[in-house]
Amino acid sequence: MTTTLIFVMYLVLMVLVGFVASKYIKEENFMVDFYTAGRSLGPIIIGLTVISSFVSGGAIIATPGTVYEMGYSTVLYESVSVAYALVVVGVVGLRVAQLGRRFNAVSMPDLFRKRYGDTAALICTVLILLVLFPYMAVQFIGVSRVLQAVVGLDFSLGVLITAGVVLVYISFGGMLAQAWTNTIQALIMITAVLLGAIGVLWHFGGFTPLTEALAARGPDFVNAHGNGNWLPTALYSFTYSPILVGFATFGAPHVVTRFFALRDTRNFKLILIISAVACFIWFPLLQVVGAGSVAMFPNLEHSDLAFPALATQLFHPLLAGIVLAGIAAAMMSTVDAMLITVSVSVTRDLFQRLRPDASPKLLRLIGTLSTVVAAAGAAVIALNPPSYILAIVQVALAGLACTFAIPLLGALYWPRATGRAAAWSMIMGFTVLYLLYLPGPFQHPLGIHAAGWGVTASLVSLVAVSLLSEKPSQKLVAEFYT
Amino acid sequence: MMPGRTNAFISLGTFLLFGILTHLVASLWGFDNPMDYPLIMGLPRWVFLLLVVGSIVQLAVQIIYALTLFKDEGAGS
Repeated sequence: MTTTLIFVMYLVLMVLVGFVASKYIKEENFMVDFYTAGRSLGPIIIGLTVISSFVSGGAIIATPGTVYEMGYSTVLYESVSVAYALVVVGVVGLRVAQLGRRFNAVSMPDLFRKRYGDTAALICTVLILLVLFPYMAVQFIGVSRVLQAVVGLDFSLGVLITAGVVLVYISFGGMLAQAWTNTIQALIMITAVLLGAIGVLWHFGGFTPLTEALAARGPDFVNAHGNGNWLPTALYSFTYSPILVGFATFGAPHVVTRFFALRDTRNFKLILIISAVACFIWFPLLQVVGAGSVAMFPNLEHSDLAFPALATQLFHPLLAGIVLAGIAAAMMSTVDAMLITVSVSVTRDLFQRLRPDASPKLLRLIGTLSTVVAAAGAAVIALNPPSYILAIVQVALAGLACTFAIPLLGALYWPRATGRAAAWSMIMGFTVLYLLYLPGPFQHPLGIHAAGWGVTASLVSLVAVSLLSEKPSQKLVAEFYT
Repeated sequence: MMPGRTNAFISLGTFLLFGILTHLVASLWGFDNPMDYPLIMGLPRWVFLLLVVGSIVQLAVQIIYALTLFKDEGAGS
């Protein structure tokens, strides 16, 4: 009962924050206020929102779940996790913030339109919708599965409640609500993970019993191959983790969008430090939580329940409620970032292109409607859930890495990149990835993960087509790169 | 000089270097007989190097980088 009460209080707090944030949105300045919080956010909030929107259920649920299923090989798979901030902040963040302000851009397709033209922007918008919908659905599934296991809430009701809460605070408060809720959510997530890891080490008295519990399940649980030989070689693992997740991090439209809201780029280094510290707390400690769950619950019905089961077993219901809120926060902070991204893609990149003279009132209506439709669509997908969250998260991450990362890098740093090349880069990256994901003889050729091939296809397409097509104008190059 | 390009090169290069080094460690000690020597703090050597040492090094390098080489160039405010 106490656990449920804490969780309900968390949901109510999120809704209240949404209502308060809505007071700061001026209708005459709707696009900038709603989608970039009036470009008013400082480095601390941006640092926490960037990382909390990236650290999804894929991290907080699936990391302990993967240790539970695959053993210590997860340590190799996430061996560069503390440095994710380095790529998203160091590679793309600063330039996106600068260019967003210079061209009044509010989304990745918006930036692509300024740099690459309408066709590339439209393709970007369509692919964002294709890639992000299943990713959002997975977040709802994760929260609802946890609620079902911990507090006995009906799965479908859990999907509807979490989707409803996110929808309310985002459709009222936009990016500002998202920034405030994400900051609160990030702090709850840090608390939850710290509690989980400290609880495990306190309970077992050190790592030795955890290692022995993993070794007792089989030798593959303590080597780098992992259970079922899921990481057969170092090359496969390298293309599966640093390439896949690293490129997905800075190719993720819902993460990149955060930087459009930055007040200015002074103290940008603070964003890097805050993000790095958050990753340092989250990822290694989540692996400790996973190892603890192996030792405590050798026969869990589902590996996604490793962290929730551990929290309810180890802690007083009050602390278990905080951990549960932290798990939900990870998923909700990701899905709200995606909702904003889908909404801005529809409103700015589709509707406003068709109706450039649309009034701010109409734009607000379209923005709200698109948010509602996106949340409802993801919830409908979530009501027919797949069995294993990590699988869907990986497919979606790979989609982000192979579709958007390379053309974004081109837009930010390569004056020779052309619009036609960016369009082909997105199409080829997306197509090659999913062709190689399909079961059959062409899966992961030459021992390289499909994401490695997808990123390569995207890079080759961008370079080759750019060199074969007409150079961008001197004016465009001067505007973007000086 | 294009704003942010130095940051991007150093950041992406460092990230990939971390990836190469951690996979080198795993190749040396992680894939075969990982328990064939005394555990370090209760962890197999390759896990200790990646999980404990690797995480601390990655955090330290990022903080030092942010405070020294990272440039808030072209503030654009």
